Amino acid sequence: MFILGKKQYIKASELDSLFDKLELQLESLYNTKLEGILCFLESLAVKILESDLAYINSDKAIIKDLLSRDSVLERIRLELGNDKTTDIFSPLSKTHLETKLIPKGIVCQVSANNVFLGVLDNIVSTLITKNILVLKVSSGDNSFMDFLTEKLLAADPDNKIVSFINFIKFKGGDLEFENILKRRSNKLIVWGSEDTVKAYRENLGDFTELKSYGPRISIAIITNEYLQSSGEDLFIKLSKDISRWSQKACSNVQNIFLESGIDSKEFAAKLMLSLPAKELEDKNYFVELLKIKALIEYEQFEGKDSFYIESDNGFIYKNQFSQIEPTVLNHTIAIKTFNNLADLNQQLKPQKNYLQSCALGALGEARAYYTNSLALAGIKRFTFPGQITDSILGAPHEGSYQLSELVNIVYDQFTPSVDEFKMHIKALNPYYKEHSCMIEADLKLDKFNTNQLTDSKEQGLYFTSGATTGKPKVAFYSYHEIELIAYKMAKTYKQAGLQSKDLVLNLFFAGNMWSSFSVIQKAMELIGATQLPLGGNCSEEDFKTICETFRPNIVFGVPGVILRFAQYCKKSEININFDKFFYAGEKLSLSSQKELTNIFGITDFISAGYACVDTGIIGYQSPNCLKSEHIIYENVSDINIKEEQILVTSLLRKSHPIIDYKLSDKLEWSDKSHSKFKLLGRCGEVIFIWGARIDLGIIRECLGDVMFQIFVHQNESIELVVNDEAAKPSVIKAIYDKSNDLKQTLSYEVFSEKFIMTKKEFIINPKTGKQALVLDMR
Amino acid sequence: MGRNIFRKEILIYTNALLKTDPFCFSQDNKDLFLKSAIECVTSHSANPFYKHLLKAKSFSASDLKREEDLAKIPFVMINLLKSYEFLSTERKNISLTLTSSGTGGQKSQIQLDQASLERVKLSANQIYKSLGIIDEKTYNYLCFTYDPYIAKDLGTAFTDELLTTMTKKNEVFYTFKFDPLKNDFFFDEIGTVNKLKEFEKSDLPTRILGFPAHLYFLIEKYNLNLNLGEDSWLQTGGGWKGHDDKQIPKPDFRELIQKKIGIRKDHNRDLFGMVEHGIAYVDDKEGRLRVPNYSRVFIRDPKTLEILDYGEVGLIQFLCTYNHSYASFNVLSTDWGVLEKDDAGEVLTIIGRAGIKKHKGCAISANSMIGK
Repeated sequence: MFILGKKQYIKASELDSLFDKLELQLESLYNTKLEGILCFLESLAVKILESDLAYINSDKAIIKDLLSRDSVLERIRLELGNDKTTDIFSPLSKTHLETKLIPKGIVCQVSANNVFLGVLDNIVSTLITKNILVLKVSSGDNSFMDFLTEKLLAADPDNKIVSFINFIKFKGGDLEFENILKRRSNKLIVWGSEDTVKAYRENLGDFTELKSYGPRISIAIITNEYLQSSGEDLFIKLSKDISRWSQKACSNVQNIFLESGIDSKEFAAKLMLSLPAKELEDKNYFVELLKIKALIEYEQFEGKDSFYIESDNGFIYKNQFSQIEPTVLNHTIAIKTFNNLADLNQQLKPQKNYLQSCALGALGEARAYYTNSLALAGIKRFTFPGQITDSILGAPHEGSYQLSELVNIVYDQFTPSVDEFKMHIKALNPYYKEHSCMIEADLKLDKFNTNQLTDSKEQGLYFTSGATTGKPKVAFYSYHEIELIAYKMAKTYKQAGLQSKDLVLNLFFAGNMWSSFSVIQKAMELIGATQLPLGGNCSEEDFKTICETFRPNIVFGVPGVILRFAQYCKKSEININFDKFFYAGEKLSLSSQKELTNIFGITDFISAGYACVDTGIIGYQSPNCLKSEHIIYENVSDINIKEEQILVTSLLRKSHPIIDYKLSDKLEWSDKSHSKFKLLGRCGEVIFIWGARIDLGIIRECLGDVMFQIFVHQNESIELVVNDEAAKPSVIKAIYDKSNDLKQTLSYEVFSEKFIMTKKEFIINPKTGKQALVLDMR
Repeated sequence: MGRNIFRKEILIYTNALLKTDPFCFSQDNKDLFLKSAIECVTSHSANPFYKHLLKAKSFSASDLKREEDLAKIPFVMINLLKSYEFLSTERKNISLTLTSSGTGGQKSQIQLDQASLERVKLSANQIYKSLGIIDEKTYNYLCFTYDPYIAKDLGTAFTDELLTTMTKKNEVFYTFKFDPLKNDFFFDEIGTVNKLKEFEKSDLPTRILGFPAHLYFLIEKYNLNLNLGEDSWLQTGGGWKGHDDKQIPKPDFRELIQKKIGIRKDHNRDLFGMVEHGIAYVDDKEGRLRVPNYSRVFIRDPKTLEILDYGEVGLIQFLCTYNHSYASFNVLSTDWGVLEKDDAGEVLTIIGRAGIKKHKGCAISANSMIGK
């Protein structure tokens, strides 16, 4: 840290050498982990807050918030999208690109005035984006700089971070110094008057970027309706908007625009009573007041309604200048009146480029009317009266995000070929070198451990199966992966005709290994559709009430669940209609489709996608697919078909990779050149039916050492075929009792009607000679 | 507009005052100023606003009984002159309108009838003569200003033209030339440097008039080393506004001028004047601005408006009596200053512009041409 005393000015040659030195430090800061910077800021907060100085005490909460780890991380997330991207390449939401934020380099902040919080914010924003800070301290009063310097050094005794913070001081307007800053800074951020900004804009270095903040003016607007409904409290609120930080901040109100009909004099008198005492005044302030008073007295001589009132608390005036006007601050307020929005716009127009915040006292439709119009007039931020000096974390500053001004965005267009992807994962994690072909057992908890993850610190969701049927399975998805899946799915749903005007009933299951419920919810959010997230476990009565009340036109869910509700509605003669049914998890037979058309009037049956929580999404149904066909999501999944079985590689899942994972489904290519395939049925150990999963392990366990074959009929009934005398009907009850899924989905009475056991010959596949365990004829 | 009942011939005391030595502060002369102030207040009560002001402050010309009463005369804040007209006579009587220069902001103005115009010229002559600046020699003039034949109503151009009439003149060179293509003035630096070199070779002495920053800039940029001779003069005015960072103290400036262009220190005289006021406050040999008996200067506290003691910094109020056509005879300026007293009278030191907002006065526009 290069610090000069408050009376000492730097020499031009010193400034040039400082830049030489700082350029050598750039890489070191770039390679410093954000964690180190966060620790430093937290330590700085502790040191600063130990103080009892008045300007610290008055803003303790703000200082704490500004420097806290959580706030800084949240600020980065909100302004830059991802708090990892200053350290590593990491996907950004929306673009989903592997992105890293690269610092601009040496950032020179030219401070407008020496407001402690402003300087602190300059330090935080520059450091967390890993830029070296050169802060040109204003030549005004900067007594707090000694205090800040002491605290910065105390917070970093090893000089690890503090060496990246530099304060310089030279006489404003000196071209020799300014030219060095203009030439050698990578980013020049100028906070100040129009003249200061103009001076720095001229002869800027070819590779120096300039961002200017200020000068700015903020206003309040009060409508008749708002005034009547708010009462005397309004004056206390406005008083805060005017007087906090002695009206020095760009967000402090300087002009109050009153809708015509409001008595300006009475308003001014009440406001004056609410204002706190002014700071000790500068003599120049009174000179300005003399000028204002002289003009007002002349206007009064002309018979105009101009006036001024003054006290130890402030100076409030109304003149005949029907335009916004900067005041001389220190609790000085100009009252203006306006007839309508057009008039107001006209009055604001001359300061269009300087407008910042507006404390808007307007309600209901009027508020929307004002915000819409005034945003175009140049206002960058609206609040209610009393809140204009309160900032919200992550909000844009003067029309843009401050942190984004301090970084360049670099991305890795990570779209490798399938082989490249596999090699990449294997290079990343040795587990996948040893398990080049994955099976379901790989995901069982006894095998799964964090070694399967590429980054054990990644945040996301663990989907796990229950432990009742043996060892549970685990599939981990990072938040970004879930978002990306939802994004891909949303695109295909839009192709299938789903629109933002639709009202969607989500009947998928949540919990367990069911990922559909949350992913569909996210996909609908991306489409902008309104949702009724009811879930598959809802009661028939709830289904009826919700559907009759809200009348959703789109339904998502497992066929078995909606068929159950269809039966209920038919029996109870309830009239509910949907346009489209997006289904997944089970086959939807033609007879079921007919039934749903008859009962619910559904005309479009669309696959919600071919996916499995083990692997992630695999295929989608486009409008030109047949009902059993899907197309592989490009750059998301890869399928390799071996003897009617499929090996899936997910190109999307990098946190918990899935490489050549064997799925228990059978499929064949219907148009390989267009990645279109046809599902032939399940060959695995689980049957998905009635919104439930029937684990064949349970059946095997209940039957004992008995051969069996299962037929899933088109009418959604199951026939368990055995050829052994030992098999007894009591097995059906035992299977029901052992399966949590079945118990949660339907009653034993219904189950025993749909699940029958017969004794006959098994059917053998004439081609392979193999006896299929399950013959799904849906 | 009320009828201006006072004519040149009947303003006995005002005219008599200007015949006296401006730096002779005898009781008679001071009384003469008081009586001329009575004539002046009476004249300006013809202006409706000033009449209103007199009424509002319960003041009339008859209240002026002694010297101390002069400070009680209601003043006009100088910024009002930028927004309103303050005629105290019928428009048809106006001979000259002068405005302060300035490209963007509002302009102050003063309108003089023939008698007032003659009086202001006489006052300047008397002041310069009394301070030993006027002599019988013939001079070459170099004026850092606009050509008055093009910028007819600009105060600075008027002042410089007035100053060139105080001696016999050979050639007058104006540094700001008019470019008809751009319809704007430009600072003819090379032409100015060449003219100075030409004047150096001339047998005649030179008088340079204008802003100190302009001459300083030329000396620095072109590293001038001239000797304009023992009899040459530098008469500056307008201050360093717009180039405050380059400003050097008056003694250093006088030293520099003597060294670089050969003008003696006691021939280097600064002028402080305001278009709205008209009285010239000119340096004596030691470089101190002298207050003549043709005016009164008060220093006021900006908050209480009380008159401050000698040596205290405050806002400068200027009161003069030559002007009977425009009610700007008593203005409270927005300049900081200090008044001091010595054996020869009062000395005014200008500290600088007061106020928070940028005040674009007369000097900005011409000053902005440095480096163009």
